[in-house]
Amino acid sequence: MKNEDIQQLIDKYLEGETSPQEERQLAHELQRPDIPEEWQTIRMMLGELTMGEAAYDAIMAQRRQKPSAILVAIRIISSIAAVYLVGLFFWLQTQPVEKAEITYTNKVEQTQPAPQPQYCTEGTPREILMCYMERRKAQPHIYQQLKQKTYENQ
Amino acid sequence: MTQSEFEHIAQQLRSQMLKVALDFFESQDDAEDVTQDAMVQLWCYCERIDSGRNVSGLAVRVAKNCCVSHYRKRQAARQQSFADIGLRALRQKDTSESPQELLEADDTRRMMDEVIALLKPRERQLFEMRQTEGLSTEQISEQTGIPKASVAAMVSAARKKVFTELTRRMKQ
Repeated sequence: MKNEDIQQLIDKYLEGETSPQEERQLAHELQRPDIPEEWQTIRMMLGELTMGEAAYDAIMAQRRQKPSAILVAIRIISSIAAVYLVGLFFWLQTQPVEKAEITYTNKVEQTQPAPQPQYCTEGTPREILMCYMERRKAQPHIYQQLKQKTYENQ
Repeated sequence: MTQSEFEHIAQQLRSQMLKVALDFFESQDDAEDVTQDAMVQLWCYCERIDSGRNVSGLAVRVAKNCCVSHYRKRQAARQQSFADIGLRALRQKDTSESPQELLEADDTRRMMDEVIALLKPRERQLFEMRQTEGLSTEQISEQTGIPKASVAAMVSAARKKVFTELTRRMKQ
């Protein structure tokens, strides 16, 4: 607030026309250390309670404007994380798809088990039965189809 | 206001003041300390106020004033801690105002009391309702039954008298 505005507010105060809110505003302006002597008298007249209330309001307003250090840190970290994720997304988009497929195919080939014999023909009758049961468990859909065909033929 | 009247409403006023202090400090211990001081100060103000008046607004003002006072003392102590050599010096240091500042505050208060005493009783009452209780012209008009325009005129007359007398005394 300019000095002329403060003087106007002081004149209004002396005329008894100021509201309590305007008086707090005046008190806030008069808390500066370098005020004229005449204004120091007004500061005395406003009283310590009005001066204190003005200071209280000013501190609270300052706190509302200024976020805490923790909040600032959280905001910075989340901004960095967001930028990193967006960058990662676009980087993955630019990668060739074939490479990924080849890698996948190789892996699949490596992990596949060795081909098993088509029929269980070797061993004792018990071993042949166990082999059949294992193959049936491993490939249930084939045996279901076989069962269905057998049923249809009958 | 008598002591028994004050004691009757003290609990309600205390909770109001505690809320103000909690909003400011966000710490129960600090808020309790400030409220304790504020209650003592409020009683000093209430002694000079007529019976039957609503002092809840005054309680809030006193609480805010105490909060700022404690906050400034703490800030001053923190600044001293940077300047001082060690923590021991900080603990031993008195964080309250200097004797010179206390003396000046006492002089100012005494001078104000003397100047206000020169006012007519009605002017003094209205001046204090504005200055101490922080009431608006409308609230004063409602409480006293005096028209708003008259309240403003009497407050203006009182303020001009106080201003002239204070300026005269400060020049001496």
